[in-house]
Amino acid sequence: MRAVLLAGLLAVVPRFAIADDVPAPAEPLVEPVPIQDTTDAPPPTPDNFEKPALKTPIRPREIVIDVPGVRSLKTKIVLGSVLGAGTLAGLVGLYFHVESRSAANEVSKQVFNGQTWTPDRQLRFEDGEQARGRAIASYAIGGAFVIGAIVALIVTEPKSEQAVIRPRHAGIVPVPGGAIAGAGWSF
Amino acid sequence: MRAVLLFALVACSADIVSGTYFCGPEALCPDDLACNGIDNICTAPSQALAFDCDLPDRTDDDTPATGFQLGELDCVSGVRELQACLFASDPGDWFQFEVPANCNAVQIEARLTFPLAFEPVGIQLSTEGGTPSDVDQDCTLSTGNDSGSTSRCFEMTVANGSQHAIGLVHSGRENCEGECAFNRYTLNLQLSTP
Repeated sequence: MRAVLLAGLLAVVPRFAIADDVPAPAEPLVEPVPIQDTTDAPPPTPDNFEKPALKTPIRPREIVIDVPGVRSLKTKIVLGSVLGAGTLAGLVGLYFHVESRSAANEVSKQVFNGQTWTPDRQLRFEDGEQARGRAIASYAIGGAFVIGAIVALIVTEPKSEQAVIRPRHAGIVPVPGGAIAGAGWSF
Repeated sequence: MRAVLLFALVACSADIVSGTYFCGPEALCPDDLACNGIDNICTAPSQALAFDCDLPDRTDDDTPATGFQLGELDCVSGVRELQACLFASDPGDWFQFEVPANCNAVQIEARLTFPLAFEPVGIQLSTEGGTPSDVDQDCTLSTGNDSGSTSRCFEMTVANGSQHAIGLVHSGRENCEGECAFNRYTLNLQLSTP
């Protein structure tokens, strides 16, 4: 992208002002203009004010900016899908986890109270064990997906680019009582 | 986080302590536990003993004709409680009794209770030396199967002065393919007015 920015700094700068950080030139940047007695003399013609008066052009500093990278839509969809799959697997794992815990609570016993280990209890116990296995598998799959999504998020992190804005045009135009400084950049 | 996850998963495993459940049918017990033959309670395999019985088997009561004599019961008798064991090698335990001749109407009531863990015991009846037949049914008032035991019942109106033999025999089912073809039992027998 290349654009030209023309920024006009409409400021009235005092005569003989010097730009920041610019080493003081050995000779004045601006040719001294003799002070005219304006009470008697006729007003100067516009030509006297609109001509650039710099002997040596001011060199403004380069402006460096970071342009952050942007992920493509495809990458976003893939990352979202992987993360979604991980979340879904986690929820499935949670369902089986609750199921397993419910079954375990039903058949767990610490004290004898005269109950019999019936086929129904055996079936509930086996269901709970099966649900437990499924919960572990679902958690593992979900965790793998989430970790994969995080890794992919890091790996596919788009790199930011540095753009340098270089002034192309600069000038100071003296005006009555000061001057107009202007600059144009491209980047 | 890992510890929490691990704890949560461990907490999903059933925690069944040894000695907390009666054995189910065919010596059924939770994983890692075994049925103790002495008291039919699920216990640690290292502590589980083989089936045994405090009462010795009567060897001469294996047929209706040779059954143990209970004598003559009253028209409305008290409950006779008979406890014994049916071993794998024992074809059956028979008890003979007579119905009084002077009753208005009389019926036999029997209730047989035995542990669920081993082979169910059946009730057979032989009248006047006839061929025995299965007579046990589900009990009207069931105690349920959640006490480690179950019951079978039998009620039959009989004639005055008749002679009967009631036998407790192998049912031939749920016996762990012969591995648990034995049981303990308690028979409550009485005569009553129908």
